[in-house]
Amino acid sequence: MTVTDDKLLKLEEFVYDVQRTITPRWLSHELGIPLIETNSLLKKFVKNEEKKARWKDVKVIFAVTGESKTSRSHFEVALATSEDVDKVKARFRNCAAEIYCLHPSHASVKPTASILNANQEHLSESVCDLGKYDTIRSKISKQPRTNDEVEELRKAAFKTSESLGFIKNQVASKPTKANSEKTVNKSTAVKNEEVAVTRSFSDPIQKKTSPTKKPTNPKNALSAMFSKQAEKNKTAPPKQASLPVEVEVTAEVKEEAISLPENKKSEDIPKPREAQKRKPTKDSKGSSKPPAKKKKEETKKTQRKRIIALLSDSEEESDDEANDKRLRADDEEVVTVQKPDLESSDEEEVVPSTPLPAKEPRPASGKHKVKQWVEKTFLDDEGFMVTEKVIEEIEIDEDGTEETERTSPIKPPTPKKEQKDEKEKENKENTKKNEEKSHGKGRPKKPVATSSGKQSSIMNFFSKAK
Amino acid sequence: MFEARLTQGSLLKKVMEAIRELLNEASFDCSENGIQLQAMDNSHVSLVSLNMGSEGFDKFRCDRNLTMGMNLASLSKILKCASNSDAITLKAQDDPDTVTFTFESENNERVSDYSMKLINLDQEHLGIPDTEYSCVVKMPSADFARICKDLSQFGDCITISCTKEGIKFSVAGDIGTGNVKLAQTANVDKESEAVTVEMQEPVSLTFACRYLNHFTKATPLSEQVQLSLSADVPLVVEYKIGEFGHIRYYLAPKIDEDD
Repeated sequence: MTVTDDKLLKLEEFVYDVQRTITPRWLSHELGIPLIETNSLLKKFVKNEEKKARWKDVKVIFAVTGESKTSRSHFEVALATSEDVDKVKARFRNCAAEIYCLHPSHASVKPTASILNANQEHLSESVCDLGKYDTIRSKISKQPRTNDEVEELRKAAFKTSESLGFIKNQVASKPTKANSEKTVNKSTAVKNEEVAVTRSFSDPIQKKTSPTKKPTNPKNALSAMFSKQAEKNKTAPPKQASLPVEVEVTAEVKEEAISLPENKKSEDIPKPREAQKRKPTKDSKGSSKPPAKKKKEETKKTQRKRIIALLSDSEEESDDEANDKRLRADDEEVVTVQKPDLESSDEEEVVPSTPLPAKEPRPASGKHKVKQWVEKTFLDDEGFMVTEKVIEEIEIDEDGTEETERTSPIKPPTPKKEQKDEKEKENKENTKKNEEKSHGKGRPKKPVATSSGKQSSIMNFFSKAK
Repeated sequence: MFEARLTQGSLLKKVMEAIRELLNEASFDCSENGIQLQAMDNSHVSLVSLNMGSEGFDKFRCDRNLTMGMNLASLSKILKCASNSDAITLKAQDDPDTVTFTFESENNERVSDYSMKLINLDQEHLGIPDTEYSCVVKMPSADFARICKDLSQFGDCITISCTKEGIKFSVAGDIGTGNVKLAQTANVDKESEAVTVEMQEPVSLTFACRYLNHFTKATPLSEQVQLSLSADVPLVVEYKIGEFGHIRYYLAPKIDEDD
């Protein structure tokens, strides 16, 4: 039995026994084969099965892509059953039809593994997209689902995911995301409605979950990574805060992290209801402002730390004096928080991945911190004098006096010459050893048999003939 | 002028097959004594030494010593054009640019000739000292080929251990281990089927399977193979070419990394 036959058998099992809707992407994931191969596999499967009696229960949905004949500029995608595919194709110019999914008529629309494994955003989308399934279903069976059916399905989806025990945290953390969405898209009322809808789904589950519980889904590695980044940002702000580019990056990461459910724990991010409570108070302060300004304020509020880090003293002043004052007050707060962190990070002796430039002046008012390569000589364990170049951070006052703060353990990159010398030494030692072995004590009578030794060259045994 | 005629053309074809996989190019040294070849493989792990004495040829004439550098792939192509029963004649001028091969069928009904361009090769010759080996094993060449082929499935290295009882080939790999022991045969009808061990001291050496398998391509040349082993010295695998020559393969052993 060939590999393809094996895969076809599996596919047969999925369609007839498991009775699930099969998309090429899912199948590719399930069988661990490339998507192109999956498409051809599906085609082959359909071709093989078309004539069989049991095939009548399975519908093939095609995705027809191409340029619409009605409008030239548009590239459209349409879904069609095998019966309608020719009709749909007629609507297109330069079209291609690929199998979108195989749909057994008894297949239940349940959250697939991909939905279960997806993050909250995907989940909400998938659940909301039950309507899409509806369209497909209606094309197949000509019996559109009622709203009640869809609602039941949504509930079932949440129940199954809840029973699997992973979704709790994601759903519980949903309000954070919703909040972030709110802050960003507050102006659009429609999107707010969407958020409200999704929250209405998540609320009952939120009651069951403890807000402090950390998500334990190991598959959500990307989000976990972001959460780690966010925690880093929270506990230790970036060391090189004076560098605008890097700060921008970290700030962006932070912004992204806020949108992720894992950051629910962070105290900096207000909970949705708290946020809702806060907003009116702030709004009440600046109630006389136009809505555009309000929006600006909102964005500044969410990103104020980044702005603080980004902009220097020459930051453009805002229009409103009151706001300006408040921002400056925040500014001061952040600076007072960040400074000790910098020092503490210094104490931790964080080793930078790349060697730092020789001098790195810092824009401090009275003192300048400068990193310098300094030669240090000391006795090592074997009693040899060792001279090493190390990075020292020196604080220089304006009057020129120096004060050494710390010595980093970074060794300077050894020059090529030194490396060469070391290699030569090693080689010499090795050759000496070999000579001693060959000349000194004679050959061992029984050489030890090795299963995988080093392959020697024939040149080592035979000398060149003249 | 160089001219050498070999009635048993198949011998030359077999010699070619025996070295073709190991070498890409080689210099054939022609002298009044015969044709010699010495060349290392590309990785300088093994060495091939071929000697075909002039007495083995029907007609042998070599006015001046000459070296003919040949591309073995090209030579192989030409020799494939010869039938096993053909007589092969090599001809070259004293300072040759080309060498001519003439193939004559048994009844001289068909004569074909091919000329091949020679190449300049700057190959170093190694002085191979006369060594008294601790162990000299003679065994059927087909058995040796079979053992090497079988054991190379298990791992990259074969350990050849020789004691007075016999010779043991062992291999260890990911899937497991393999051992083949050959005891000295007491009574055999044919001398070529016997396994004989001449031993001064026991030896155990490890060699790369890949090269051993290349060496076994010379199996059609001779029914018997001779393995000569000494500690810390290359293995010699020798096949006789009729009564007038031999092909010897030298293979450097694998050395323990601790050394």
